Amino acid sequence: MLIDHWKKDFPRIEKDLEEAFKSIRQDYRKAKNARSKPGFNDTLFKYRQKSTDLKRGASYGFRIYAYYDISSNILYPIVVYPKTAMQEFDLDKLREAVSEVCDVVSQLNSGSLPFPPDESSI
Amino acid sequence: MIAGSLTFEEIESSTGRTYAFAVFAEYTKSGISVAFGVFAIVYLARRLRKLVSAALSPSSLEGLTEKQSQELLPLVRDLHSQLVRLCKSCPSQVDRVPLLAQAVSSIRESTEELDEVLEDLALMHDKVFQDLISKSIKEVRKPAHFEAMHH
Repeated sequence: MLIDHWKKDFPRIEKDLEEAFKSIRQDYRKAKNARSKPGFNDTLFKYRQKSTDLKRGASYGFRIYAYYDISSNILYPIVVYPKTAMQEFDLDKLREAVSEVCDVVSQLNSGSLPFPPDESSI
Repeated sequence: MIAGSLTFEEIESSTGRTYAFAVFAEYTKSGISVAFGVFAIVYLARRLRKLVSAALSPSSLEGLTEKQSQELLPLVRDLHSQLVRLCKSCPSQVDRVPLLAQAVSSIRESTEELDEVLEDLALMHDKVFQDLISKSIKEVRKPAHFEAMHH
């Protein structure tokens, strides 16, 4: 949904994420350096995906946070960002990103934003 | 207090000992003898692998209380900083010695894992972040026009 935001710096982001989600679909617990985040009852996972635009390993690629809904067996991607955008962990930045995603989805649900949203409306 | 299969005291002391060894490894690198330096780096690499895959694994951290995670945070941060310093100061010649090159590469990987541990410790009891995740999930679950991943 917010992929367009990163497209200028990472033109091949869609292809990279497609590859990531293909692997995650096969084994969400182990694929792409999966790490279950403690404190979330095995529902919040973080993944690493290399960026073909950077031509370096997964350490320099994208980070993906996703929520696994046990009852429906569905994994919801929540936030995707390039590691270069947050070299060192920044709790405020992460909160802000999740909050923005939440607001956009909420506005989409209420019909106050068009779907898919354009860059200027986010 | 049980955290996974390890107690908090075990997690803390294992992390503390590894930190002490990382300081020692840097010291041996700049003096004593080459053989001893190599041994220290190789041993540190093994010790770190064990630390991140056992004592500091997500399942071990899962049982920590907020107070315990806050206590552990500065220790892991010190260890992480020490390792970053150690890796940066490694001369490029280490690549010529396979055993050393492998150990340094392993230390770099463990340092990256420690990055995740630092993040875990900061997030696991953060009420604001947890609420944001819950709120986002509630919103994402509502409509049919979002592409979720059926596993």
